[in-house]
Amino acid sequence: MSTRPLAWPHGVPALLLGLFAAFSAGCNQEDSADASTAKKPSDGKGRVAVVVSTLNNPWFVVLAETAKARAEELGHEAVIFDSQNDPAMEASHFDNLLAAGYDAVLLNATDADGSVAAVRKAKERGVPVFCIDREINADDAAVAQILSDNYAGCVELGQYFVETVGEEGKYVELLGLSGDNNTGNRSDGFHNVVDRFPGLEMVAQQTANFDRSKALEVTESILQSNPDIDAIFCGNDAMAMGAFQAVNTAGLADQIKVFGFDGAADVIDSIRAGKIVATAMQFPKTMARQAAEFADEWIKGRRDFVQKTPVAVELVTRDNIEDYAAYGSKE
Amino acid sequence: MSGHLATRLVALAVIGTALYFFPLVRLVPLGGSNPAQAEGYDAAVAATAFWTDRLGAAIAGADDAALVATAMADDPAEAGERFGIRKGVGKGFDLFIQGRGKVVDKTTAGVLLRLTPAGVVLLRTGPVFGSTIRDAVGAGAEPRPPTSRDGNDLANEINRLAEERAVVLLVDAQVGETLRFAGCAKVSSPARWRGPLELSPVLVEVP
Repeated sequence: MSTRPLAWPHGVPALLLGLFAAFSAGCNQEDSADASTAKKPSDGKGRVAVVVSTLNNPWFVVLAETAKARAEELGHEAVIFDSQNDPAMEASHFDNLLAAGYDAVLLNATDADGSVAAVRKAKERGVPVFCIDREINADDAAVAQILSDNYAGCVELGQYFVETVGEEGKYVELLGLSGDNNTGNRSDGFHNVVDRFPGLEMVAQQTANFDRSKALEVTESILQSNPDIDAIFCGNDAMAMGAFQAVNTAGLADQIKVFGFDGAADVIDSIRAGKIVATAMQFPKTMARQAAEFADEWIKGRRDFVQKTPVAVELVTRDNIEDYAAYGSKE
Repeated sequence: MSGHLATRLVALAVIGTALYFFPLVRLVPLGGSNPAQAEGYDAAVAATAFWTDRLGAAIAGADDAALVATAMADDPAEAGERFGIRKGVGKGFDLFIQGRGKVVDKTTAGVLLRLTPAGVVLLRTGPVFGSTIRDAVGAGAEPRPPTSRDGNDLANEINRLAEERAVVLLVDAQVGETLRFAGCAKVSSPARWRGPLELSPVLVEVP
């Protein structure tokens, strides 16, 4: 998209910004942020903002609540901000939390490119940002990024896909949000394996935005024209649940194998019940705790952080399901 | 009345102009160029440069295969502590080893080597997947790919070179022959690991 030079009509920017700020301030904060109460962490205790892409998916609820709980365990005040998958709302949260004097931000970004500006703004104000689970496309903005190794996880999942579906067949891929690098990394890892088998034909590839309802709707539509598919690879577990619901309703559960990614509670139960074939277990609690601990260390004076910390992802199938619980392993 | 109308029209024009330049909704097409892949980065060039200029030195610094294979057979977790290459957080690790061994079997999975003085490894002959070689040999460390998806491309290119320049040489390996080799293995879970070590080779030579 091209950008155009422009000059705002006099007074309009202030009016729009004022309306926008007033609107944003009322949206989805568990606690209000008040600049008058901001304090600097001279005692090593600070205020930590947990800005999460959405709370409309249990996986992200676990991520956000774990980060908040760990920050509180470490003696800090912590507040969750829900961006509702909206970069504009996320930017507004940043404006508010910076004005309120927060000392650190734990960010689960809405958009790999679109979230960079907000992170840079925080950096300019001296407020460190630690990205959790979702990468931003800048290495010099966040202090550190703690990210699942989505690519390696989906390579392993892809190998299991070929093992269980076979080297010939038709399949569908459901993609997540287009602006999220996790979508691309998972698809890259899966295709790194599956594309080496020319007998496996992808008959449809559609986005369902990591959303269960959207996946249900998309899968229902795909099944009407492709009732003979053998498998569906989904870029997250919410979409896997929606896809399985469509498959089951169509009476094709014995024919079509569904694969997810996340390790969400309902998919772990579904694998145990023999409904969904496999998922890749991410460790949201591990990532969230690590981010909170990094923020704690920053507040206490540490400044040397590795930019990216990958967190391993593990294949979960019926063969090893007893080693896992929702959102993690039993170990 | 006409004054109010004029004010409203001006306001609408101002808001319309603002929305034209700063739309509330932006449609982003799927597919096409990927913004998460940096312009100017060429994974194929980076992989070839690594293979040509730095792989030899990396192999010289790889761990001794017999030592690692024996340690893995004894205690995978302990072997991981001693020889494992770890990135980030997780219970798994990668290995990068080199040595010599005699071909004792050829299967559909690969070529089985018995090492001196002890240990067994399997050099895999199938396609190479994932980022194990990239990470184990350090190909992604310097220069670091600008984005994670560039890193994926680098892994693919390194795998392609491994297939073209090392794996393919295993086709002619004969039982009883001695091979010099270097390769990488991924151990996802030491607790569940069962031998032998399965390596994606980056070097295969008949001395």
